Amino acid sequence: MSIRIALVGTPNSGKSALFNKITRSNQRVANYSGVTVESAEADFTFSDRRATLVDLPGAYSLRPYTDDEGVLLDLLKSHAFEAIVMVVDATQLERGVRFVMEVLKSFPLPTVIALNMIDLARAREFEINVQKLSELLGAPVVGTAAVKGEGVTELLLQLNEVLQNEQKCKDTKRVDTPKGEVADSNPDDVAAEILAFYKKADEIVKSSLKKPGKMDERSARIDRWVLHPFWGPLILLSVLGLTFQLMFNLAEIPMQAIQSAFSWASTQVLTLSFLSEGVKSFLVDGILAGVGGTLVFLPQILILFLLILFLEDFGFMARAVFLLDHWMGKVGLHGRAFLPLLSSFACAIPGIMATKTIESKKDRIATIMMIPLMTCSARIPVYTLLISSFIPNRNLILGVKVQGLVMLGLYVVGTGFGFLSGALLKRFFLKGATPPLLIELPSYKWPSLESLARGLVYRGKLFIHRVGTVILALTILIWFCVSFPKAPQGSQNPIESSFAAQMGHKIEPLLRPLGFDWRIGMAMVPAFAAREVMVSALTTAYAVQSAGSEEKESERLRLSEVIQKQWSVATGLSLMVWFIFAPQCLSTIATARRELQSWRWAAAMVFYLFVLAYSFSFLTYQIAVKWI
Amino acid sequence: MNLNKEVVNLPVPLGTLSPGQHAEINSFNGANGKQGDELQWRNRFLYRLHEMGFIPGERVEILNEAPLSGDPITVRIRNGVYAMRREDANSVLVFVRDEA
Repeated sequence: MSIRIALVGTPNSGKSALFNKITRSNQRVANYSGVTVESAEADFTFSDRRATLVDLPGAYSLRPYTDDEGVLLDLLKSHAFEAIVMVVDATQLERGVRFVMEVLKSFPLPTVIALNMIDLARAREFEINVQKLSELLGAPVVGTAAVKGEGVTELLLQLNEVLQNEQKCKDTKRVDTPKGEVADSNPDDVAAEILAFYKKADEIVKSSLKKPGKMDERSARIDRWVLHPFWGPLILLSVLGLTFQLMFNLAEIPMQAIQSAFSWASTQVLTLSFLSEGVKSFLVDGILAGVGGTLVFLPQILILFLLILFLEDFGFMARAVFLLDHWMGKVGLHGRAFLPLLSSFACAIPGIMATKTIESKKDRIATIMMIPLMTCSARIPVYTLLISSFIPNRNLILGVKVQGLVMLGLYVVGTGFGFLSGALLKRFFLKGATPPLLIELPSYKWPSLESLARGLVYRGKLFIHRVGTVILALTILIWFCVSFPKAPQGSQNPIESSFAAQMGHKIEPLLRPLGFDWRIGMAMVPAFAAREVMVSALTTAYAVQSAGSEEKESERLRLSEVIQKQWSVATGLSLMVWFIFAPQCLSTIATARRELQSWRWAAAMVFYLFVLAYSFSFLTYQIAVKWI
Repeated sequence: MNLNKEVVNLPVPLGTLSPGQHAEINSFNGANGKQGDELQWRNRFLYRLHEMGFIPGERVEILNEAPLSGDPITVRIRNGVYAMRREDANSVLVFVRDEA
């Protein structure tokens, strides 16, 4: 029989790294308070036992400060676990030991304690009497360095032992029902209880600490620069700017390789004589063009995630929260809203889920309403296509290119309007005090290659899964709508008679003032399901069209050249602006509705985004037509 | 340390200190007329501070303040560094001390 084991510990204690080492799963490790919002679990075996390890959200105590920490208490109280592995940061013993004592008291299950980051503690000359600590706590303590794998085997041996002892005395001794109740009685009493508890923990630490280590002067030295009144903001801006610049420059070669591969595959399919023309069109114009058009952005997405993961693990993100808190305060939120907003630059859905770390309901609603305006990675394919088609790639100074700058501009405009919307919401609809900010600045540390690689593989898998399912299905649907009903023989413009064209023509009057023709309208409809489908929709539409005319084979995958010829610059700009604001995608809106338990807020989200998108695309197009 | 100075030394709110200043925690501010949600949050904030080691007698050091606004600040206690807003830090009353 498989047993369930809870992994409990403070944020930044290397809990997720330990989880990875024990289970070899793809759970990400992040050096940031509160990244593990959803609990991950994975199966593993040790000492002939089958077990499931559940990585619970990081917390400092059983007294929840946020909804996120509430999850921990709820799960522990659900009686679903047979054992607990607690993770303590060896350089922050007092705090960790206090939490261990609290958990041991409320949930008297077989428990082992991982004294993690023992290597860092050694480097800072901490001398810990692990034996003594075990005795005083009444549970085995093992020094571990999860990232290096040190002590993990020993930890599992100890775990096996406590489980065996538990088995032996099960008949004679009944374990108390876990109490786990944290009553919100008189605040002074609660405070006094915590103080007493902390003092006791402090005594235990004092008697088991042979030599207290040094302060983390290295991190303090780095912070003198990173948090410096002048250099700090400059470093933050440079890091963000460099991130985008790298994303574009490094991705160039792999993107070309993917493009050539798909182009080669298309040519191969076209030479297969046993396939009918219809099947060839389906394979080349439908599947290869559509999937290739989206997959080509995998390098960019991976590079962006690699950089974000690196900055998180390094400890930089918590500093960004600190630097940005004052500006978030202007919106009426605090720095903590930064993490969900930042995650939303990858995808709005994990961003919305991560708002669980926000203490106040009103602040949470405001943050969720801001999230769709953060530039998610699904917009990258669309932006890249439009920028590479309509913005010249000139060098400005020092290798800074116009294209990179425009991309940054799109991010800035989206983010800026996001904050403006948040501020207005907080001011007029969601008035209320913002809970106190309290965030840990963890020690800087070099991220392990292993955890970066795991994180990347995970992200890559998600993207490829999306391409293989949602995007493939939509691509086929679009190809069908574009190809049928068939035009009569010898028709000049075969696509004109298709279902898609009919649909596009229907909404064209609405879109004309924005500079969009029916073809763009046609591609915009499936983009509501997933933004990046816009690219494959356009590819499919134009590929099918060029198949009818006598354009060269090499143009099939060169959508950029096609739209450059067919659209005005004003249309290109207007479409960029549309994609900053448009109420997309469906899953985002569905997630927002589910998390807020409110149709009204979801509807309000769609409405305000649509108004923004329509107005600003209209303005952009009308101004660009006159001035460019 | 000047003993005379020690006697007239009154506790000041933590949020009024500048980077580089050291202090010893004395006590914690009352509810200050806060009510409802605000009171609840203030209580939870204090609990969390206690859990992180902010208890009377403990030494703290202000390390940094945010650019331009000077708010929030970072506070080092034991081996941990925490960021908080000055207004919230004012719940903690401290004696200013020379570097130990």
